[in-house]
Amino acid sequence: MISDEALMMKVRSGDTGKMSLLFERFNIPIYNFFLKFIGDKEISQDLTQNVFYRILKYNHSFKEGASFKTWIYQIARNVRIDHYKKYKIYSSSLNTDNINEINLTENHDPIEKSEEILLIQKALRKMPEDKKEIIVLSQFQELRYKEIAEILNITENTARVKVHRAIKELSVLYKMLV
Amino acid sequence: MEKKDFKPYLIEYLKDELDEETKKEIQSKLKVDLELQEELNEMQVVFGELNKVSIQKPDMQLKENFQKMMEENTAQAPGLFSSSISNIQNWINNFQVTISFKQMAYAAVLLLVGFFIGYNQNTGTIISGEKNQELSMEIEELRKNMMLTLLEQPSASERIKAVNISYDLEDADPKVIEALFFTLNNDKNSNVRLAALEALTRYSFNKKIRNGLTESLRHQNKPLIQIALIDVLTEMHDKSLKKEFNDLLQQGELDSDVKEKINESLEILM
Repeated sequence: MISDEALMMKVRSGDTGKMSLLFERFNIPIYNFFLKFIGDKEISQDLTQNVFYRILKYNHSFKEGASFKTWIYQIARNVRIDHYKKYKIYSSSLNTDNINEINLTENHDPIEKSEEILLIQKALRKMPEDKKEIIVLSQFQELRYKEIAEILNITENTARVKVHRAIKELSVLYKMLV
Repeated sequence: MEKKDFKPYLIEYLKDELDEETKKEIQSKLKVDLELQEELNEMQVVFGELNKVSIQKPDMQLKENFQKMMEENTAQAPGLFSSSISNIQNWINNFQVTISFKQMAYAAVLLLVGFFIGYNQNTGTIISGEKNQELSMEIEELRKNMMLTLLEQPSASERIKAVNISYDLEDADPKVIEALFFTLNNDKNSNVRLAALEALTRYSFNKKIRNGLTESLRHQNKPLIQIALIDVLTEMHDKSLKKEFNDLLQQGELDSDVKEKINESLEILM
């Protein structure tokens, strides 16, 4: 199977048709990356589309030898940050705590409506953004510490410690809700 | 192994991602270290719950939009990215993908208006107060039209952007208010509805708008919106709301969180 990096290099050299393969491989994880933060299907889809749009637009900034996976998550992080900045008035003035909880029940499949799962998601949404991000990357996106370290521009060991602390904090919040 | 604190390695231990040596060291440490055992049990519970959260699949719409983007990209810019000139073409083409002709026309008019204002200032021409007012009105009108156009976009984030434009408008224009109410009552996306509610709250000093919000509460069926509306209405401290809230409480299939919120609000309104 041709590697993600080789596909991206082809896109970079003008064979933009190879974008479809990269889309097939990454659209679901990237969509879930946004969904875990925002809790809104439609907006998560818009942001996912934006990630692929940026890949196409800024393909020349992909460096030979770099990891595509790391690069796409860096783009996704930027898209998410830009989204928050753009809708600052909207997001800061609403009671997002309530919104997120209820959105969860609206957006998720019935199988995910068991009480424990809702509680862990509720606990996750109560966490500060940076800690939530590290859990999303390590647990839901199944990225290795090395990859997380590259995405967040930290050392591998710092990533390991940060994930541990975040999970610990999540555990405390979860216990409070149970 | 130099590392003394094994705790940060527990997640990798649970995922079975450690090398044999570290794994064995943790296993032997676990036999004697109660604190580490406790930490492992704690991690196991959270880790287990996190693993149950399933991965969601996006709608087909995402793939369709992606394909559309690719088709437009291929059709509009053959030989893309091969030279700096084609890069500029690509930028223009991509710009066209996201900005409709109507929006571009508004942008062009705004640019012209800005140009004339700047020109007149630079040449020292004094624009009469009347002309200034006329220009402000034109800009206001353009903003309104832009907002109304964006509200019809299929993308939820574009519709939220439209709602946010209403914050730049000075007056409570009937068309804008009507569009915001339409969005609040009919938009399929809860976050867009909430954004519309937030925008309407600015005009809640107006009795008609207060009545509109009360009316909207009767039609909303999503607990998320109902709770947000109840919060907004309660802040108005209008005693007549007590009847509305009591009527709502009589509804058979009312969400328990909404009931709780109404009871809290009724206490405030007492």
